[in-house]
Amino acid sequence: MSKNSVLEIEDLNVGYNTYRGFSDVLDDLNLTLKKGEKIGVIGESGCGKTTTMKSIHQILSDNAVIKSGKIYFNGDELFALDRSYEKYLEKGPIHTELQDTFEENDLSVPSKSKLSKEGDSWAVKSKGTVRYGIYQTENGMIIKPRRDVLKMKKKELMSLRRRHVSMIPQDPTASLNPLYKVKTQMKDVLKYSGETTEEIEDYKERSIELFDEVALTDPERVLDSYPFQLSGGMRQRVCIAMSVAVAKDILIADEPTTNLDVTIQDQVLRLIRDILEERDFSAIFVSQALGAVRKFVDRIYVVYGGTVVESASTSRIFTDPKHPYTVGLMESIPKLTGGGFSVGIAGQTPDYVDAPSGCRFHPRCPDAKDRCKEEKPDLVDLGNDHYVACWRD
Amino acid sequence: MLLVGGTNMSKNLIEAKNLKRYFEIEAGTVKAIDGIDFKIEREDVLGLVGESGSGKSTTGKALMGIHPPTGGTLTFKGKDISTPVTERSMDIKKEMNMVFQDPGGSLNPTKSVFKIVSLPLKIHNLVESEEEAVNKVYELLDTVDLDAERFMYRRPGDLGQGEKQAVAIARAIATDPEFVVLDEPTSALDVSIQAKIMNILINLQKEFDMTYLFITHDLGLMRNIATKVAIMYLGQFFELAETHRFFEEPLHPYTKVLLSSFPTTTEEEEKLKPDLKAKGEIPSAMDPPSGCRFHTRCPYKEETCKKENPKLKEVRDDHYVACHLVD
Repeated sequence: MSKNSVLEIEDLNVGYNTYRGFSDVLDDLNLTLKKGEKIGVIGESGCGKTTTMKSIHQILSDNAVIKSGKIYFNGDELFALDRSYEKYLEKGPIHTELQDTFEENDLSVPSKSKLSKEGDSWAVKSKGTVRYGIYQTENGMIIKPRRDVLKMKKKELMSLRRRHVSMIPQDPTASLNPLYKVKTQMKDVLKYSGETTEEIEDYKERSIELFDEVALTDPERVLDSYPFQLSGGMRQRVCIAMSVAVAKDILIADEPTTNLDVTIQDQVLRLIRDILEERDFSAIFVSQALGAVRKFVDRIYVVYGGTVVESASTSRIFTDPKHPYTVGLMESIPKLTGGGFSVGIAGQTPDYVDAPSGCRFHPRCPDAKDRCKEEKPDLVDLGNDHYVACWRD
Repeated sequence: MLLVGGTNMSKNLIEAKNLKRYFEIEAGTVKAIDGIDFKIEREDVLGLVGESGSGKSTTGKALMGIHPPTGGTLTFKGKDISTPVTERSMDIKKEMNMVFQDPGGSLNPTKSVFKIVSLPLKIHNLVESEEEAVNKVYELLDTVDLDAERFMYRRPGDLGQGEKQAVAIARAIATDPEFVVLDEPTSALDVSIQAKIMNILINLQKEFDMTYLFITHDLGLMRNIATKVAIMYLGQFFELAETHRFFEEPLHPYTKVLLSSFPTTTEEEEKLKPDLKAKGEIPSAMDPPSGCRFHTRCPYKEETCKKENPKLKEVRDDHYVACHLVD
């Protein structure tokens, strides 16, 4: 785990119990999100993109099974040692050992001298939230250590969802409650993310501020409307406002523009891009549309059959794709310059109940060899931070 | 004017003059199509492009008689077809067909692929025996690149999205029609499957000399299949030109906005995009803006644009634009 990564997914295996048997979707998926980095996760529908994103939030459906893997989250909250440490000492117990799980009743107060070694960790319970940290002498800061999302307790998970990682949903219509006015829903978001105090006036002010940020015209009217009274673009902007109100560390955009018209899509994408740049968030951008992500992600992970088949910087992926799947995807996109259509990629995404052996892409691959049917290729470094999982040279 | 019953063998297959389709709803009148003129020549592919709510699907459905026009004239080979589909003659129904956007919704889930594809054959008495029907369906599935052995007796639920759409296409071409309306046939599909379906459509068009009305919001798709392009906005045409002319010199501000919004994957494409960013959303067709309907979103608007609705006029050879500022 490098120091500057906010999220690291290691060998994640997730599947679903179905009537037909166990559907083994994610197959050792690895993904790293560095601080301030914007990554794009692309692939066809049914490749496990959304399953991965839902795993981060732990909002998978009931029939999902997380077989193995780790999702490390490393929040960005920095506490200046001089102020915070003293403050927390007064407030509550501190734990000094770095453990994977901290038992709440197991917290003890270390003496100040004990917390002097670099790498010492601490835990504080304040206002019902457990905070964790590692002491680093280097810069005199205490930072939060990585935490495995899959081992988090309910309370921590709530805090993660409410305050650290937020998601812009694919379908804004389905994710806003049609029975409540936008203002009620905005209020809840702000309340539980700890954005404002209890004062009602504050909610309104903050909501209007956020609506201004997402370029919603006439915020007062929007607040007083039910979601169905708004257009698709406006609903998506409300969702974006909610997400950026919450996010402190990571913003996950799960195909945020699939249901929108091209002109609205362009506006929403530009808006998300501006907000990301302004706030210096780390972001994961999930999409089927390669063109949509090209403009503002630093790195692209191409996912097929629940595993990453290629990852490289955006410019490299677009100019020099290596994996046959990536090449196929690129060629499938009709170009404004004309030139007709490619043959596409034969076949369709795998049936995960009976997933293909070896490389999961082999039944659709134009260059599949015997080895591809038997062994799963690992991600190989081609240099220039370009990784490909393919047996082909 | 109306060429009812005439044997007009001109090169225009479809002609629409001042075509209108209004919907009366409780809250008022929705002017989905508000006076458009166009011709579709034989073996042409007219690409109809616009945002949702622009009336492009309604135009397709007006041609098919699903939403018959409420005004203007509409002819097919010189015969009036401004009637609902139920009042059309079998001959016309045989010659015109449609592929819908959502293959899942347009195929009966309880019928097998064979039943779905053979139905038009039986209705139009194109086959005499069951055996002939089987052979014909076999042939049709083969034309759309489906493994007939495997899919013939399956139901739509067992098929993937791309395969379902291929079945819908097989059904549409079963009667060997001259004209097919394709209403966003690939917008529900993944790009890799989209490419395959588009290839099938292009090959069919060449092989059987068909004429298409291709409705889409994807300019990239349209660039690669259409011979002519019409840009539609709030029930009216803004620009009409041959595809290559259109891309060489897009003229209407709305067209430029559409082009600049298109997400591209290469630098060469990027160069084709005008630097004009989209703002605002398409207004309601119930209460369209006065004057030019685009003036609420247009960066170049002038006083006249708010008052006068520009007519579609020929500003270059065979390049029609409806804008006060283009000449």
